[in-house]
Amino acid sequence: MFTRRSFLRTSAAVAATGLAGAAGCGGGGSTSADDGITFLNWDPVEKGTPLANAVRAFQKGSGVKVAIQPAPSSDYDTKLLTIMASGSPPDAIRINDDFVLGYSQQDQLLDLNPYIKRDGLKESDYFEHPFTFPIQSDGRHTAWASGTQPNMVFYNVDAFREAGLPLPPTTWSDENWQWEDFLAAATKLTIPGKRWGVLVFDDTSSETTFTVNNGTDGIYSKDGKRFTLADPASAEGIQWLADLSLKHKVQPPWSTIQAGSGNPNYALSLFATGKVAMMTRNFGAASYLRQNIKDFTWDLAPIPARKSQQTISTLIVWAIPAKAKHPDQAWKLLRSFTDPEGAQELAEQQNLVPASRQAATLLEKAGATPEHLPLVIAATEHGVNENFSPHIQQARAIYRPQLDLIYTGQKSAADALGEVRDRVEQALAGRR
Amino acid sequence: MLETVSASRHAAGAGTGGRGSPATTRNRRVRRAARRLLLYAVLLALGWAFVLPMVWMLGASLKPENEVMVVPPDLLPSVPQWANYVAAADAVLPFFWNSAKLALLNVAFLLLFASLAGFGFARLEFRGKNVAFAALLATAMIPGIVYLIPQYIMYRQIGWIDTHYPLWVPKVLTPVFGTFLLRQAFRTIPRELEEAAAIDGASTFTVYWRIMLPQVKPALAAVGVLTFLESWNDLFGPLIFVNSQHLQTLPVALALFQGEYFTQTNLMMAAATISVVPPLVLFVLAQKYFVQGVTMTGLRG
Repeated sequence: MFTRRSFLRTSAAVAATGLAGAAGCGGGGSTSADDGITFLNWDPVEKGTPLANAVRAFQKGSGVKVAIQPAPSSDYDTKLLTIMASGSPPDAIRINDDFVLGYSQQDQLLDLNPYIKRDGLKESDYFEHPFTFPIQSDGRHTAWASGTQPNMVFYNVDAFREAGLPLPPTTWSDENWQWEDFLAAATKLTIPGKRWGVLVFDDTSSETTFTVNNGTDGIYSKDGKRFTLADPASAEGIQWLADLSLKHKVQPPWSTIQAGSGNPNYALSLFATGKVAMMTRNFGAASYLRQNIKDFTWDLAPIPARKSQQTISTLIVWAIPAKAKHPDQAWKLLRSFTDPEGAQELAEQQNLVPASRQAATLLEKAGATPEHLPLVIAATEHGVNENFSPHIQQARAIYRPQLDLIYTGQKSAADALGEVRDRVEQALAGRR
Repeated sequence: MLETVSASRHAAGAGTGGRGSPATTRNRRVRRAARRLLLYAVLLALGWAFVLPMVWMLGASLKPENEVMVVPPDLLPSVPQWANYVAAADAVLPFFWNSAKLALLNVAFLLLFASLAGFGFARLEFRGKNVAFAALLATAMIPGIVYLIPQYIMYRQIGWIDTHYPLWVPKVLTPVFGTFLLRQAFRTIPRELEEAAAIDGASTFTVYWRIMLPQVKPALAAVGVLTFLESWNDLFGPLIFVNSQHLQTLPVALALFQGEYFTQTNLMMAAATISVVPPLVLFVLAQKYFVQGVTMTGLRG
């Protein structure tokens, strides 16, 4: 009879045999410094994914072997920080655009200017924002952006039609698409207990978009020294966002949004199941929506305008660490991501806009979903980014908790942001 | 006052049937049954609360992605998507073997070294024993993140980065918790056993191996299960020290299902279900020893 005891004994014997073999084996990695380049990134690289295809095409064309080192996006920054600090970085890395400035100021990223000049790459061939973003104040070009993912308004076309509302603009226009129009649409689309009119993304992208469009520099001044979110026009923008929930009741309450924010699909699933009629979101969300929305039509619209009509444009950024062992080959890889073939591979899922203007025309082909997909190209033309500072994390740690007070109606935006202005500016000056 | 209440209760009891009468016995049984019912209701509610995440995970693993987050939540899929398991298994199986190998190495070697150290601290007399034991415990107070970068540099210098060595060798050679738990277990064994073996001519190692070790099987099971779980669930070590995809482990593979802007929740839950099977089987098989071991080592200092 096969008892638990005999099972445990058999298992122990098998384990002991395996152990003898396993103990002597550390299972060394496959790529040494001599037979190719190492490439750290957080995108999926299973066979058939856009990045895997782009890398495969590069290897085939260049003969350079690439050892991909995948790290989960949730813990990527910790891994990058450790390997950069240890002085043995990979040859090419994906890098969060928030941290390009900080690593550049520590001289940890290679200046790509010699390569850009040698290869005769012209700024006019690229969208301005992705091309110029990595240029530092001293002229060094310390990273390479292969594409952008601008924030857009995603909307439920059927819900607009049911409510008898005209559809939002199909070009990057502010005609009938000012903040007041957006609010009026959200109000009509809201069905109490059944559907919210809008859900604005609750991260720093909204803090930039809705302040820049109200005529300010955004969260920080262009030199990264002043906390401009506390300026009256910025505070007005933040208060307007808070009032979508507090005053107009067209957006879920902050407590509900916060409770769901631990789940990365929270907002997307609300939209995909028809519980929200409009949402502002990064264009990267398009893949999820294409996959999961089956019973209504959705489309893209510009971000609503006030004094201007810009949108935050998150960049897909790569870099070569200053201590990389094979910088020449790493540059070839980075450049391949903006060359026609590589850009086409990366843009295949239609959830990013290639940095190269020519490659971006791929998004204009007929029959794509959603119908007005090419709007993202116009969004890239109107893209902005946060004005970064090397001390941005410290600044965020001070001001972002104040947003809870604003969004829950405990304080006005002017008061809550005004009272931390000095502390944030000290943090930005590196004095905290 | 208490006496008065008790006396009056007795008097009341005498008037309505008294102690041991059929009515009182029936009342007592009803009360006991009611108490038990209440207890079971509470236990069931708690049990359901503990098992609910698991049930949700199973349900989500069989749903299409657009059904995972429906409001109000539905635990069952409309049509079970078994293909999720095929896709998840395809993605995580190579990592599964790496995790299994590391768990095996960690458990086997940690039990060996921790039991040797625990025996030494419990039974052998040598100068500075208490100081050494205190020093050992003190090492557990230093958060790992503090020495992460020096550790990384050291491993790089000895060629261990992008190998499995950092994920088991340092752990099995510094088994603080295991040593502590096994020391406590060894201390519960009567010294006479050891002395009888010594009189029969057993060496110190023979006493450890043939006399003492069989006596602490429950504690070994407890340490083994805990070590297995720690190794099986370790995300940070593989994340930092391993670069190549083919050397990665299950927790990293699960984390890789999380995208920057959204997660394939159904596939992730299918992979998570696959990943909890080995710990679950191990716990079911070893639970008798495990519970015994934790209880035993907690009783005496």
